[in-house]
Amino acid sequence: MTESENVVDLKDVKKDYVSKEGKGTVAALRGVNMTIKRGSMVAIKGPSGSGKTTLLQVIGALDIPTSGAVNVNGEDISEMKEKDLTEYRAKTIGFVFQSYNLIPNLTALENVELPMEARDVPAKERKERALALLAEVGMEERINYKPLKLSGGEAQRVAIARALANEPSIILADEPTGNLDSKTGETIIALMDKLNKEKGTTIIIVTHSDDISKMCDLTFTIKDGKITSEQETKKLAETEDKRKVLRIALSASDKIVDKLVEAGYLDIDSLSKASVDELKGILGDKNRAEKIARKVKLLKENEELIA
Amino acid sequence: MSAVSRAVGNVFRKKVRSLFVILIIGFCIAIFVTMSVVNSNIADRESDISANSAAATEITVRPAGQGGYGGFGGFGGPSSAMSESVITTIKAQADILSVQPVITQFEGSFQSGTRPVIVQGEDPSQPLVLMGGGSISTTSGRSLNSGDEDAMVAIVGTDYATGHSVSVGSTITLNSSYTLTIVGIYSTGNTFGNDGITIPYDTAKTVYDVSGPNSIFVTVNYAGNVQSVVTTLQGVLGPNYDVVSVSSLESQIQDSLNDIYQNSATGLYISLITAVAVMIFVMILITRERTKEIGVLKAIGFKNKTIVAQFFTESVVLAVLGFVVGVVLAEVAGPTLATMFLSSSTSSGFGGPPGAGHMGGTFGGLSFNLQPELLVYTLVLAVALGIIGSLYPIIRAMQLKPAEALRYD
Repeated sequence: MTESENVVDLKDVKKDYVSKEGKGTVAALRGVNMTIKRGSMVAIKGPSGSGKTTLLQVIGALDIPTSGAVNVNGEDISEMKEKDLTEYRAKTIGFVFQSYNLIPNLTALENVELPMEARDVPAKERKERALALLAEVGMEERINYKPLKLSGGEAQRVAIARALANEPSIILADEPTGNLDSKTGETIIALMDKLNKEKGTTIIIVTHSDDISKMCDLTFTIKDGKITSEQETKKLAETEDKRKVLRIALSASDKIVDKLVEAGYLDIDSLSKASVDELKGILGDKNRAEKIARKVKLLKENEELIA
Repeated sequence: MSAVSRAVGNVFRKKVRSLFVILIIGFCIAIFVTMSVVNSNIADRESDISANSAAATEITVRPAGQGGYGGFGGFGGPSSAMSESVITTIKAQADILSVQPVITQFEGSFQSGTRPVIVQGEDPSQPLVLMGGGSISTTSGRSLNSGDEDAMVAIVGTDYATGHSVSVGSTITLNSSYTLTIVGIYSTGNTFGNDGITIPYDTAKTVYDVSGPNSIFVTVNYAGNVQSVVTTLQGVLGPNYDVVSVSSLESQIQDSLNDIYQNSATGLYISLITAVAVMIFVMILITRERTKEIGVLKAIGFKNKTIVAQFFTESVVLAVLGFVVGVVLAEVAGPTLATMFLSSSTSSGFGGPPGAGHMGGTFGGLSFNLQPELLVYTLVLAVALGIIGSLYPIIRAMQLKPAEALRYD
């Protein structure tokens, strides 16, 4: 893997806070190592107080790590001066917050224009781009609404449009569905998934939800300021889905399906290309192999029925 | 939407609070403007008194314990009338060149919506002594002459003539029912004298139905004799009369004016300090309320200087709106405020000293004009007020890291 494939690369990142009592420090991050591929959708999971938000803020340059290197797009932002950090936040990062954090006295359109104003984009271009973004998130009918007149889901859509305003390479979302009901939350995540696929924007989501993490390519679990696991959740979820389909379609036991999946046969299509001998080799039983081959042949013949 | 227009919009985010703040600042600015006008008038008055030092041979006689012309706007009114026998007694003394009895009355008042004008009744056969002192020169028509003793004629100052659009031959109505013809317009070289009306002594007695003068001005033949004449007159007139030489009078008036000046300056500074305190408090409140918003602006890439400009503008807009309200308040209520202030000052012992008559009393007619220079100066001050008021809270907000600001509740 080359350096350019990694959009975020954290090496031994630590962050200490002064305790509320002002005596001593509290370690929020204790040596985090993390690599995120460009264009991926990543979840950061963990219990409250585990350091998820701090990790997100360090990547977004909202906070400075106590030690360690935070490489984003090949540059160590922990060494940057405030002026460069401001530019970095404006250009590279788009933030989506749990409580939306829209400016209450500005309309949806004006809120989306804000990040572009920070980058001195001309007014006309700002407006055109903001209108396009609001249309993209399905808010074209609400451009002149102020945040208080919007539902939670609508406000979060506007916040996503605002995050996309400067076409950042990374979107950092801190529990973006935390204040939404599950159905609205699903639409927000689906929207982020769509943006990830269509625009190739790297999306890093802090979440408590297993459902959201299953939609992500990669899930980091953090506990007490340390990454405790890293799973390719989407792939696992897809494999699990295919396993279910195979089990139903072949009326086979979990044991047989597991053997087929382990051998790389994840669907009827791939099985149809396997010979009886190959299947016998996988399952260790000629009768079972012939039975599976017959079912696969039958299913292929009735492909429309399967669809 | 630029930072500036956003800032203007933010001022009206909490309308009731903003209105309250604008009114408080407006009131402070109204006090400031009013006190500035009072101070400006005091400076003019002091200058007039200094210019009047030539009257070193003059003595004033008045009923004991009564002030000059009653101070600004008619407060206290003219002193009570003396018996005309006092004039005869004074004339009988040695070293006296002339004796001028004066009846002093006011026409109009601030309360009735018109600026009060001082009317003096004087003996036309004697040298005239006018409000504010100074030498009298006729600019149009003639002065009062012997023969005008009980005639329905008047001479008016140049400022009065301009302000009331009158000229020689015009008529004026005094005490609501007496019509007098203007026979001359004069200048005394000071604003107080130039805004007055002088009529013959006997005419004044008729018009205002009084039996004697409020004050008597005595001119002594030689400055070296002033003190001995004062002593003599005090002896023959007794304790019911104050006999005061002009030179000691000047000193007393200066002292009174200085006291008023100090009081108005204190009022001026208190109003300024109050305005700054209100502004600082409000801006602390605003930046605390919007700390999270500052965090959001930082998070989406706004530079510190843009955020500072937004809050500075917001603060300055508040202060400038306060300035507008303050100027309107000062224009509408300034004269009344000044009256109340001078009234409280004079009741505390800052009234005209005994016998301050021909010097115009301590405050013989305040001119309440909001000069453009004062308005510009006050506007600059309001802008400075906005900047100073927002300085601390903005610096505090700027020092916050975005993450800290976003955590703020």
